[in-house]
Amino acid sequence: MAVNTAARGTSAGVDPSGPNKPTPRRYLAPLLLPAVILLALLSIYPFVWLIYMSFNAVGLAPGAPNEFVGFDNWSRMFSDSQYWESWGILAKYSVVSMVLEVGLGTLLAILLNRSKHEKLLITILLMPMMMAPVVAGLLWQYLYNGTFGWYFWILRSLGLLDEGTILGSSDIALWAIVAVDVWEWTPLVALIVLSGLKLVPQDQMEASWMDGAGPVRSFFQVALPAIKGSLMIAILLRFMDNIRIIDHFIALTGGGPANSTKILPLYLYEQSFSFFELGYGASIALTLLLVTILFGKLVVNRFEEREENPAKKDEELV
Amino acid sequence: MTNPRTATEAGSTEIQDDRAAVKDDDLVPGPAVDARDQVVRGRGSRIVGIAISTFLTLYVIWTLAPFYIMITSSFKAKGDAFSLPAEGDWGGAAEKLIAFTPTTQHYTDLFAQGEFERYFMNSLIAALSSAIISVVFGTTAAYAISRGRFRGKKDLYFWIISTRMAPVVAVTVPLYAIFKNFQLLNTLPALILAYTVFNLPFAIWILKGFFDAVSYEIEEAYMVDGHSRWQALWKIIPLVAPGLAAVVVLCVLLAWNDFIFAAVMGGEAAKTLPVATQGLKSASGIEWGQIMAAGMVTVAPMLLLGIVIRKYMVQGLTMGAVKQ
Amino acid sequence: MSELYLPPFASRGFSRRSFLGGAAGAALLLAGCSSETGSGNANRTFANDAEKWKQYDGKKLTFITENTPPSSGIKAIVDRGDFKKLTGIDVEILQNDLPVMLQKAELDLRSGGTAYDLVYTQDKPVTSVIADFFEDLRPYLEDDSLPQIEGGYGEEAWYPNYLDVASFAYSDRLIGLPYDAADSVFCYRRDLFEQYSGQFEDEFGYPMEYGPDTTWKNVLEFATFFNQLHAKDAGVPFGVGLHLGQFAWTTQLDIQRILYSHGQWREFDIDDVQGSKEPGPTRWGDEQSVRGLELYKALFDQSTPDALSLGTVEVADAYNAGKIAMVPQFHEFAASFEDPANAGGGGKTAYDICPKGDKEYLVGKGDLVNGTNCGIGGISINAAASEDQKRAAYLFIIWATSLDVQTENLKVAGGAPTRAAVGEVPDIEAAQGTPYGTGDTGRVGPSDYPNALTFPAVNVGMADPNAVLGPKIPKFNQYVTIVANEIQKMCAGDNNPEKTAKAIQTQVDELHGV
Repeated sequence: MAVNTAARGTSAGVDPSGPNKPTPRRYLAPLLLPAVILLALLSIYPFVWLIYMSFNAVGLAPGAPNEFVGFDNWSRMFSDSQYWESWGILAKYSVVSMVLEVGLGTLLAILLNRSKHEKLLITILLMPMMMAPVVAGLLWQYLYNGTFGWYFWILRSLGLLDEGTILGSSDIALWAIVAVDVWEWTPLVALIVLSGLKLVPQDQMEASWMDGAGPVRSFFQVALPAIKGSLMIAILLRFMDNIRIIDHFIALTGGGPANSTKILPLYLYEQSFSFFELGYGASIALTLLLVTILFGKLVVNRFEEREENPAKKDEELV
Repeated sequence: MTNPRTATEAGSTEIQDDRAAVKDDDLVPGPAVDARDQVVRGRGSRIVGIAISTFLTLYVIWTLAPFYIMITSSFKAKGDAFSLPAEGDWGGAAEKLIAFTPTTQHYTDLFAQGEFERYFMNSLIAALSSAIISVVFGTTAAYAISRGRFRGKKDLYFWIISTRMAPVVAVTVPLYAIFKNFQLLNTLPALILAYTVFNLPFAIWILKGFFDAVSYEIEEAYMVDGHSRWQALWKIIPLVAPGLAAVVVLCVLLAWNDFIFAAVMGGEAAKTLPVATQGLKSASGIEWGQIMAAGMVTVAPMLLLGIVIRKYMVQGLTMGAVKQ
Repeated sequence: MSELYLPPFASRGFSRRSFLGGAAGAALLLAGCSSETGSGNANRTFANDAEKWKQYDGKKLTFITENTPPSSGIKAIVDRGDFKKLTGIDVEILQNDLPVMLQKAELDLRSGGTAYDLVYTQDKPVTSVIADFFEDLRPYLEDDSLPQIEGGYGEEAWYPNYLDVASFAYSDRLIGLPYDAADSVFCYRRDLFEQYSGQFEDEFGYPMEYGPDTTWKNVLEFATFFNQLHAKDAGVPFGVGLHLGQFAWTTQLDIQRILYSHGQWREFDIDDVQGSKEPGPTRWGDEQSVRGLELYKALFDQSTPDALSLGTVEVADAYNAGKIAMVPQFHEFAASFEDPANAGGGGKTAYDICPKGDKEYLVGKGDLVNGTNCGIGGISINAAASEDQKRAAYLFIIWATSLDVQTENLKVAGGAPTRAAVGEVPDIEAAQGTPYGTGDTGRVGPSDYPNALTFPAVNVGMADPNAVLGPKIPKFNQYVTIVANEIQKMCAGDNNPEKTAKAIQTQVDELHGV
């Protein structure tokens, strides 16, 4: 097994000195520029625009100039209680769904890793991820519906839900959306962790089992160190997507009831597209962007570590 | 290794072999697997085995149940078929879930009145076009980043990736303004460009990983034979073919499933399936049967894609974290 | 109520008219268009009306509207070629959910765009937000080079107050014509009322009957009675449905009609028709608003357990499923309530005006009225469009709001007509059902055009003194979001009515900088 892992390293040719042989500059430009120019147009302009707008009140008529308001949008943001509340809801939502997804996903990965039906199970697990998030949101809204919803009916019949409904209660609605997130994205975590587990030399696991370490201890001693990197990636990716994609929220609650599910990106969406507070929206967008970029930096560092030093990683395991 | 052709073949064979080795672990019941089973049995805990099977079965049910309800509901007639049995009436529930007279009314309504063919085509064109643009430019850029050595490379790479991570809502407003200036609003090109913002960095990210995994010696040998670098790049394309496939599939998936861009910039002329599905909700009534049918139309092609090319799907969905 | 409002048709002749003609004429000269294509010219003379209708033959218009039955009906009529045959103009009708529609229209109009020639202007959420971007229609109505519609456009041509609601904001400019309507009426299960009237009387001392004098307190007692029955036998529906779900506007309407019933309480000290860009301090937080919220909370307690998740559509679903005995609902829902496929529907419902205020909940000496509110959809022209496009768009507006088309629409799609004369068309008048309840506004089916069952209630509910039309304020959507959020919090038990009223007051005043 160890041999196999080593072979994997060489066959993949990840010799750090290998691929980085210089490409002459005259090739670089035509290779890189099309992509870079396209991305620059579509990402730097928006970024500059956001910064500019965050210092302006938007002209509300065609041709009306934007009015420079200095730091008004920013100071408003810092004193806006809903802004902070929305951060809080986003954090609560992200942390809880992350804990569930990582826990369930890791368990699934371990079971999948040794299952005879791995391929079939992965195919099934992929299914929720194929669904457009807004369609998933609509489907779950239907399942939760107090008149037609089967999940509502099941919870009621089991006596797990006494008064009220799922999406109508400010105590439950957020957790109901967490459930949708868990349904759709736990498999992603499972697959990433599974890839980490594949790197664990099987005989080590077995040896650990044979030694009588038991499944739990051998997991913590052998598997966990190996999948730490993958777990980190999974967590960061999921966190970024929680900020990026709000389709579940749009379809399921629109932020209600009583703002109990108004996560920050949704608040931004409301300010920008329902109220056309484009200047204020820009300030919120920039703070969100900043946080995602910080997280992004962490993700990329993780990936680079993994890709540059797979050999080192394997050594650590032995 | 002087003959690049041989080198290429050797390289790809090695990769193949590697895969085969991994597969063997999973499928052939070798002694290692038996050992594990013995450990479990030896500890007298058949219970663990049962617990595992139960957990996996429950998880599969949890995953598939919404699909089942979606499919059946899309074939249920209005009215009584949609009502729920009395609380706690499990027998009645089973009957409602399994035994009903199916109707294709919702589907015919969608396609006869709702112009769903057009939305389907819009989704397809937007998704495929963006995927192709992303994979073409992504390949050259990823190759340059993988092979090139230049100042600011890391920063450039990070900037490229960070565009993929930007919150969708945050970039929608400025993009709207740009597209408006170029009179692209409510057109498919606007959607294609918007998806490219996210798909191109993604393509570069994934493909860089694949190029990194291809030994530089192959190209070197080839170029020593007097071929240009462009030809060398072309030469190793087959080696990154799995990556290209993964990228195309994932770009299609991302674009196909997008809602916000299409809702804000798509307009009627470029209405896609998710927007059309959400649009079936109105202030004067929600036709759940029709929404479920529309959801099926939206998700079915992607499910098919997922089953047919599961491997690449896994690779792409995990942002390259999984390399099978 | 409309003292501030001068009917725009009182005086004839506008200085703007000559300007308009000149501009269009100049445009024609510059463009050098051939008269064959019928390029618009306000100075042109036409032999007959048919030619006037045909003057923009070959043009194409884009109309962005909501995805509700009235617009689906118009689309069906347009798609089968009626308008094209009359004018030679192609109309593309884009239908979206209201928030999405507003988003698209607002993005376009605010940046001076012309993607949409015609915009569906739902009175408060759309019109009051982007009123300045729409063309003043008054010159068009008097233009001899444009055809005009039988029945005219004066106040009396429409259902009561519709013109005021749909066509004005912040000025006398006529920025739209009433195109469709959603008025609140009271719907209740007459089968249950009949069945339990005696039992109710035993407990509460008066019969369970509904009429124009039924008050909100009576409704609360009916609801309490039904819930007590429900507790004994789950087969009986819950008391009363409310509109607390996702869509903030309908939650605001839900509390507004109750508050207005008590002394005609309004949210701002502004004119209902014109609205105001600077509404000043809100009246939320006063004693009457607290009393109103107390009543609302009491109703909520007698509603379905899932009331917080039921918006307008969901509460209709719940009613149709037989889960609710009474609901104030928008009149276009009659079509689904009369659908025999539904457990709670199919001839079991009676339609009447909304309940009256009750003196127990009245603070001070105001009148008790049957508070009724609405969303009247106007149809308006993008002022940034070219003169020709605008004149062509005008043809569509008067066609779509004409008696014939609205009558046809009611038959095709169960639309909600705005022209009062539709209700007088013989088979539609016959479809207004049988009188029911203790007054003459209540009706029951069967009916060939179920929405017509509500017309008698609409006629009285939407007239003075019952109708509450405002508030038209530019930040209407922010305003209703605040109201809905705080009311949801109150119903969830997080806040009492007094604190809720104060919380609304604080936030709304902050919103308006007062």
